[in-house]
Amino acid sequence: MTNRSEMFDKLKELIAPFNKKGVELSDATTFAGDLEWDSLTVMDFVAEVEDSFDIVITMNMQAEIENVGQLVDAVLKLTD
Amino acid sequence: MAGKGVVALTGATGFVGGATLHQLVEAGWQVRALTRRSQPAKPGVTWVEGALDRPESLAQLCEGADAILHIAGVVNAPDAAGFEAGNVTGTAQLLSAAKESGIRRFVHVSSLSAREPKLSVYGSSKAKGEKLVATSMLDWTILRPPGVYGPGDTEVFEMFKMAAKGFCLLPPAGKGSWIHVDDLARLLVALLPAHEDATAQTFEADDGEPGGWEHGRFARAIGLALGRRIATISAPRPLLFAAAWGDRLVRGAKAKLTPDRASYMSHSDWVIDREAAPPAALWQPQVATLDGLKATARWYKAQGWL
Repeated sequence: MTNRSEMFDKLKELIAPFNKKGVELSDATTFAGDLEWDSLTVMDFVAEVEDSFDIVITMNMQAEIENVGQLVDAVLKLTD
Repeated sequence: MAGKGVVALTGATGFVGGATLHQLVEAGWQVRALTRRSQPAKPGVTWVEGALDRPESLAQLCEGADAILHIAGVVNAPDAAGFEAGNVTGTAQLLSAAKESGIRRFVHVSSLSAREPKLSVYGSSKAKGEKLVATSMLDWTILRPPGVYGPGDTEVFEMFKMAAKGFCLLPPAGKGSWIHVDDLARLLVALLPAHEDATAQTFEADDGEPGGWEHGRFARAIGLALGRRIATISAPRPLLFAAAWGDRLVRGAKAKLTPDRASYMSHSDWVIDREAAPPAALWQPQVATLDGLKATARWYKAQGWL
C-alpha cells in the first residue's frame, strides 16, 4: 500500500521528463495551464503512467484529471 | 495565378498524385497527366491516355513539357517482375522520353525503402529506379517519402479501422517517420522548378517529429484523433510473416500484407535522415500531425469508411 506522499513523489518522477519548463509541482499544478501540455504530451504521459503502474486510465477518467493532486488520487484508487 | 510552365505528371490518379495534381494546378502549372483510364475533365489538366510501358504515350505526355514529376510506382506486386516492370523499366522509359523531348528537369518520387534494398524486392526496385535517375545526366531531384497518411489513403486506413475498434496490431517494435499527403504534395510542387539547392539531390522529409514515431505511439495518436484510447499489440516477426502468407493464400495477388511487405515492415528504423531534409527556405512541414490525423479521421467518417 503506497501512501499519498509516496505516490506524489513517484508521479513527480514520471512528470519530470515532460516538465520542460521545470515548473514547481504541487497538488494544484494543472497539466494544461501550468505545465502547458498539449494533447499529444498528455497521451505520451498517460502511456508512461499506465506502463509504470500496469493500470488503464480511460478517456473518461482522463477528462476529469486536471491537476497533479487529482492524478495522485486517481492512480492511488486504481492501484488500491 | 501566373503560369509556371507545363509539367508532365505520372501517378495522378493515385493518392499522392491526386493531392499533388490539385496543388500543381493551384500553383499555376499546366499539367499533362498520364492515365490508364479516361478521367473527368479538370481545368488546367490535359489527360494523356497511356501507361509507363507504352513509350508512344510517354512521348505524347512529354510533348511541350518543361519538367517531369514521376510519382507513379508499384507498391504491391505478386512477384519481383511486377516491381521491376513498374519501378525500374517504367522509370527508364520515362527518362528516355524526357531526353527525347529535350526536358531537363526530372523530379522522382522514390521511397525510404530504397535505403534498404536488401530488405524487400520493393525496396530493391525503388533503389534501382533511383540509380537510373541519378545517372541520367538530367537535372534531377529524388524524394524519399516516409509513411504517407491523409484523406483518400487506403493503406494507413487499415490502422484507423483497427483503432476505431479500440486496438491496433502493429509490426514488431520499431519507429518510422510520417508525412501528411498535403505537405508531401507541397514539397513536390516546391521542388519542381529548377533550383540550385535541389539539383542532383536525394531528399528525405517528414512531419518534423524529432526522432520519428515509435509504432505504438503513432497508433495511439490515431486513437487520440478518433477520440478513444487503444490497446496496441506488436506482432512478433514470425506472426507477421505467417499473416502475410495467409493473406497471400486468401487474397492472392490482391494481398495487402505480402511476405515482401512483412519483411520491410519488420525493420526497426524507418526514420528519415534529418541531414537529408530539403532546404528549409524551400519547404517546411505545415500540418501538425495530430491535426492531420484528426482531419483524416473526419474524412474517413464523411465517406462512411469509418
